[in-house]
Amino acid sequence: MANSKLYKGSLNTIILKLLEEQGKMYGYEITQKVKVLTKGELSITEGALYPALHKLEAEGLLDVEVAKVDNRLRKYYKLTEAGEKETVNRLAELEEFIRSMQQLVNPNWSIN
Amino acid sequence: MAQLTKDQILFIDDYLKRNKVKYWDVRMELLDHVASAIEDELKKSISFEQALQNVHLSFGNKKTSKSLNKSRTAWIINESIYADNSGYKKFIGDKQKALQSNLRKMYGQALITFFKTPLLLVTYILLLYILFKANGHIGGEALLKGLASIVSIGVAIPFCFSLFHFIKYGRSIYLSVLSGLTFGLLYGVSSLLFYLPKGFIFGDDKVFSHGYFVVMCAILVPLLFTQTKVFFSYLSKIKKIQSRLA
Repeated sequence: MANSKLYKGSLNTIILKLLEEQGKMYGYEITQKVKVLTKGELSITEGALYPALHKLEAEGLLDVEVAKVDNRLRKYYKLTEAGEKETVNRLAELEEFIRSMQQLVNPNWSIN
Repeated sequence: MAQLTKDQILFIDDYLKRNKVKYWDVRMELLDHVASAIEDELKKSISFEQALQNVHLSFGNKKTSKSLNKSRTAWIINESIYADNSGYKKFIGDKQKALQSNLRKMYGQALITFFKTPLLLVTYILLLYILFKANGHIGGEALLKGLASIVSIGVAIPFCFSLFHFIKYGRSIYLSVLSGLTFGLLYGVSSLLFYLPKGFIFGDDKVFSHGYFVVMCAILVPLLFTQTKVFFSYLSKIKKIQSRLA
């Protein structure tokens, strides 16, 4: 697995971005989606995912929905209106961060 | 994907209960995650028990714990999926912290709103002025009893609502954090004001200090207002979540 410390600060943004794309997702689905998208390079542990989800929910950036699926109840997370706006801001911040890092480690590289 | 049977789901629910996941809303989320992860694990052609053990460990729980025997002469090694629940404890603790931090922000915002709303602010100042002028007209004991009654009602109403919700829906982490913070803060501040500084209330000469009484009201009135406002607004949020489960 890649150095998880490098991803830690971007976890909330990753979650927001995924929810923006998928509409609504449940906890386990998020861990699996990240694994698939990064070809197994990054795996979000349960211990990191849920505190992030609960913090985003408490901040009012995520809303929850519950549905009955396969003999059990499933809690889905989706973006609130404030969450949608925050996703745009955080993605712009992340993009800017990636650009700055690239400038530091490889000055000839361009994101565009 | 292999779908778990109803009995296996009930087994996971019982496993979570035995691992002290006492809040039904936390258990609901954990149960789905554990069940989904087990369904994935079963693709590796392992048993349900082995899959559950793998998921148990993935949450940061351990499968062994040790404790001293009765005579405190030797260690007893306990090895099972019920031996250690530190991962689930952390899961619950993190959620509680997130909810508490959000609630504190709500209290802060409600307090700012209280002092920024002209009608509330004027009423508040007028009330304090009337109480200040009541000096000598109403006895100190009567004033203190009156204030204590108002604070008690302010605590009793949210308490009754919390109790009703607890009986109706069971133990919820949202309600537990909300009740804990509401009663904790109200009880803490009013106890501090009523009981600790006896010397302030009755002074060295055992005479009721009216100035201190007005200070008590100046602190308790906005506190009661914001606590009650936040309590009911948060309670309606909890009700919304619960209504989605119906």
